[in-house]
Amino acid sequence: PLSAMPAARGWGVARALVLVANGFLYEAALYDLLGPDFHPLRGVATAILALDYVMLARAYGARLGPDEGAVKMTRLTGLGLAALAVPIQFDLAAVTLGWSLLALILMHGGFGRAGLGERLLAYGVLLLAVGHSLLWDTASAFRDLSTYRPWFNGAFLVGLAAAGALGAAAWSISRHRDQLTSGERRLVTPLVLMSGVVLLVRISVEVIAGYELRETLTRGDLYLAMLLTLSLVWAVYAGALIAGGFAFRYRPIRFLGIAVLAMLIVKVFIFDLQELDRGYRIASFVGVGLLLLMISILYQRERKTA
Amino acid sequence: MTRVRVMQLSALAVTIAAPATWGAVSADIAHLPLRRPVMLVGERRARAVIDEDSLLAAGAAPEFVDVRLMNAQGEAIALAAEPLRRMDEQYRQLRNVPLRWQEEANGPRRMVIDLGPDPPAELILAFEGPVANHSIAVEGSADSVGWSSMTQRYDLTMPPPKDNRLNTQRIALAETRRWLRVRQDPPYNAPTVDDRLDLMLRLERSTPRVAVGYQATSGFERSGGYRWEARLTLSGPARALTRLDVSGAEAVRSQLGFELQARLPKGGWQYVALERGPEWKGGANDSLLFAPVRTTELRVVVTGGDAPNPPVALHSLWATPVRWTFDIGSGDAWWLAWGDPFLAPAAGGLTMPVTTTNGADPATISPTRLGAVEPNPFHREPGFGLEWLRRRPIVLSVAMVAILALVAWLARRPKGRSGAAA
Repeated sequence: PLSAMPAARGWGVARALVLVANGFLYEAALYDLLGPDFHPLRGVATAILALDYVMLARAYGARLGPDEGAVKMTRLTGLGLAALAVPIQFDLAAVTLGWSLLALILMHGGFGRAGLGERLLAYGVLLLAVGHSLLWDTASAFRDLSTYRPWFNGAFLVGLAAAGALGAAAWSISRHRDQLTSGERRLVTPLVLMSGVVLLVRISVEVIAGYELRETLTRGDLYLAMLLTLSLVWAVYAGALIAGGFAFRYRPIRFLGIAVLAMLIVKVFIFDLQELDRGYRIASFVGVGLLLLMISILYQRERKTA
Repeated sequence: MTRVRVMQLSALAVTIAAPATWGAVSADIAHLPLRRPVMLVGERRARAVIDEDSLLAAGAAPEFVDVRLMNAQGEAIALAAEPLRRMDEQYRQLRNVPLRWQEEANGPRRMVIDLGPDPPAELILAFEGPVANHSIAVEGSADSVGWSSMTQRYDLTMPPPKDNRLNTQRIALAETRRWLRVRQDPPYNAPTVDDRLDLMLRLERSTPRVAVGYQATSGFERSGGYRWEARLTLSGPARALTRLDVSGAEAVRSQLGFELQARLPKGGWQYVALERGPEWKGGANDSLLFAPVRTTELRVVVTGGDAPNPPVALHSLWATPVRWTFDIGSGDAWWLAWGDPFLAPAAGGLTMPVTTTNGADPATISPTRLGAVEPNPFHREPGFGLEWLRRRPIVLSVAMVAILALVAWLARRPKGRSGAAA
């Protein structure tokens, strides 16, 4: 009956719920049965279950057509299980990478009105990847500094990949606008801004972790140097965003650059003014001043050419 | 329809039945392929202690999470892991001192203690009483005439204990004289019959030591040139290092500074707290004593040397073995089993760390000796090639990626049948 054409709308909804619940409850039972002695097999077992569901969807699809409700729900359950298999099998940065790739694949396969479910799943998985990168990967950087290699570690490179995935998702949406709902069309700017924020957080984490590591190794107090470097990095990043915003004539990026700049100015006045020695303080203010000058010149030039 | 249902039901049956069958084999002992008999040395006592040796260090999992004690029936026996430490502390009472305070009007009260012609080098004054709110200072004298201050003034303030118990407060003296004068400043409490003062000795007993083989490379750093560095790489597996014997040239040794770093298992270095550096009291030879650190490589940095001459010569490197204790009870045969790096740490008190031997009388603990390695007859290989897979996790990861790629490929929407553009 699950694969039969629903006679009433209510039965169709109930059938969708049963299909999803069946898949995930079965996965919970499987997960429990395989632990703790067979825990290495949990990830692969979940992936096989995902494969089962996707194959079932293919089999249903051959009979009922790919857009029939039961087929779509079976396929989505399989894809959801595939997303679940990633953190069960992998750890830390590999999870972010796996989710980012999966989100892009889902999004690529989900264009067209009938693929809304895939696209919604893709947005969800993409958000999970970003959250994982910002929370778990960041926390792991400070958990064991002794083995941390600033800038050349999986968490940072995968953070770049997550930011790239957000950018790619935004680009895909802008390319397939005619196939998307009006709500999705508005996602381009938030995705681009989120990409910029992920990049900023990951870069800041690398700077802070790098100084923490050097402090641990040298037993020196590098807090002031860290504050100054962070100011410098934020300034360069804000400058790059604003310049990029002008180059591509994309206002949201410029606004993000200005927001980073505002954050930098707040930091300079609240932290740097209190904490930094006179030399560092002068360097910090000169750097921010020069940056503001350059931005104002860019805006003036833009106004003249407009 | 029939084919789909058959596929669904068979997939369900296989996936449920397989783990249910595997689940029966799960005891810790059955996971461990190797074991060694544990033999009591000397008299049989209430407890026994097992020391790590190089064979165990090389074969067991990091932190010894896979080490279990078993009996002849293959049952796991509670094994208490001793915290790693450089030495055991013991406190022994030297004698009780009758409290005879000489009180002055509105001033401190004093009491003089004669330690005899041969006073101990170090001493602990242990005050005991129902109320502990007073200020204490100790003076010393070699002739009971000229007094010098031996401690700062201690404000000993503790709330009255419950259940009629007594407070005990200790003041350690790093050096002593024949005559000690204890001074108590007002306001102080009237003495009670429960007040007492004991003179205690603190004894240190080193934990066992084993010499560790190593290879060393050393030299002054090129820039600056005043930091001399030596890297000591152990010839065998990681051990809990705790002492390094060195000798220094007389011309420079008083100005040398020492720093130790240990290599971490995953790479990188951690600083090691030096508990006692060389004091050169006994001449050119002395030791660096530090809290035990389990590592395969030690970095010794010496500052204040006179390049290009090495500031110190390195001699022996010593480790303290990891130790476990267990209740002997009525058992008569035990084996130490290990060999599964994937075994989870024991739950249920099988390796609960306790400080049982610290301060305990050695006469209550039987030493043991570990016999030759033998296969564990209770070991059962997990089915479905899991043992092989657990040792090669990359296989599962690659399989997982392949399955997910297949999922992604199968989940593609068939071309030409997807929904029309909006």
